Amino acid sequence: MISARDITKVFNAGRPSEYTALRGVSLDVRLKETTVLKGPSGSGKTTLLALLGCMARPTSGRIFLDEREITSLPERFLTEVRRSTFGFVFQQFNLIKGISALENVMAPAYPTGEKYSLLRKRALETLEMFDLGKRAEAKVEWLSGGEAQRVAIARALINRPQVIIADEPTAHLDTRLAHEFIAIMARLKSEGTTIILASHDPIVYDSPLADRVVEMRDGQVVHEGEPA
Amino acid sequence: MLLSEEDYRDFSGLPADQATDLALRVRNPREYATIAEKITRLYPDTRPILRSEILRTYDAVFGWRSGLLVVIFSGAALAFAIFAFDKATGLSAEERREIGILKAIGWETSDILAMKFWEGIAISLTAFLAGIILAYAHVFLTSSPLFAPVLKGWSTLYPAFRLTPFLDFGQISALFFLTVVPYTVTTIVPSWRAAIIDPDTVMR
Repeated sequence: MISARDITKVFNAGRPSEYTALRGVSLDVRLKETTVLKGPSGSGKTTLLALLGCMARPTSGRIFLDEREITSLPERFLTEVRRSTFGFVFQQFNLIKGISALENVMAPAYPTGEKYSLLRKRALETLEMFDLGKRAEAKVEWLSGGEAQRVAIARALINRPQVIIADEPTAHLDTRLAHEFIAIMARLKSEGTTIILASHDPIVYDSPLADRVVEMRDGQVVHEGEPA
Repeated sequence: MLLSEEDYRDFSGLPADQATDLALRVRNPREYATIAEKITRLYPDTRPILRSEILRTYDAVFGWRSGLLVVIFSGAALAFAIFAFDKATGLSAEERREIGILKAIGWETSDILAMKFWEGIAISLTAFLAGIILAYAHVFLTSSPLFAPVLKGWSTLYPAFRLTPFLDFGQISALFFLTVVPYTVTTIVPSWRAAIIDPDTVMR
């Protein structure tokens, strides 16, 4: 279980541009399920995802991962938790240009010090899972939108994370690729991976993949429950 | 071929009362010009050259050449300084984005700094070693075809001379510390500034 308790996040505190992205949010994310954060732009979905994924610290409130309080961990330990527990799929995929798909997939595992040959083998196997074995050596600039998306998912899986976090994963995809993404997530879920998605795309929050939909607005949770 | 005066006279049949060049010492420097004028008047087919004239000629011949090299070196040094300044004052948006992504996918600040350090070392050391090898080949294997005409002159020194290969490790160390070290440091500093940002920046 990932639990957020009374989370507030303020950006640019004390400056004229101060902005409160989250206001007293409390949420429980059950493991091995899919939770979808739904809401319009600016509702705080991405900020909440970043906090749940240990990418940032809340201004106030606490986050627990399996009852372990993680908000007060020093950066080094927080990074370790982020690396070993979470896999991220970003809205723009955020692949590193100039290097191959394979190197992008291997990137999250470099700091672990795993033997290069083993890591490369594992990364190739992960790419094979998404029918990208033949594109492993291709530079990411040469990949199609669908291929780039699958490389981003493969990268998120390389450290065998317990939880996949995806921010607006279908925002730049056409309907066919969006359904393909949902199918991949469904497969991962069936293998026991917890999935947390932020999206305002009905293809995502109305899909059978969603076990729980959390509706957000103005930095607060306005509704939480089973999908309609 | 080096011969003694006696051997040369025997070899060339030059009479004992004749010479090709004579060196004349005058005690009072203020009389140099007067003595030279008198020699010209007494022996119209001779050409007296004063020491100061020789120095002025060599200075004119080699001075501008060294100046030319100083200009070339200044250009190269300025290019290096601009390059280093550009690296030190900031990263491109693409480099910042890359660092943000690496942090987001689980890299620590120290991992990024280590990567940037080795990247800087690899680039600057490769450039440094390539420069040393090319300079060695240019000077000692091909007799400096680029700079020899400028340094030796076009008509003054005809005899070919090959330089003996020699490496001054003091100079190489100085070059190393003036190029590799500053480049690596200027790569690390902006990377450190970018690497301490929150990893969620890439999500915003």
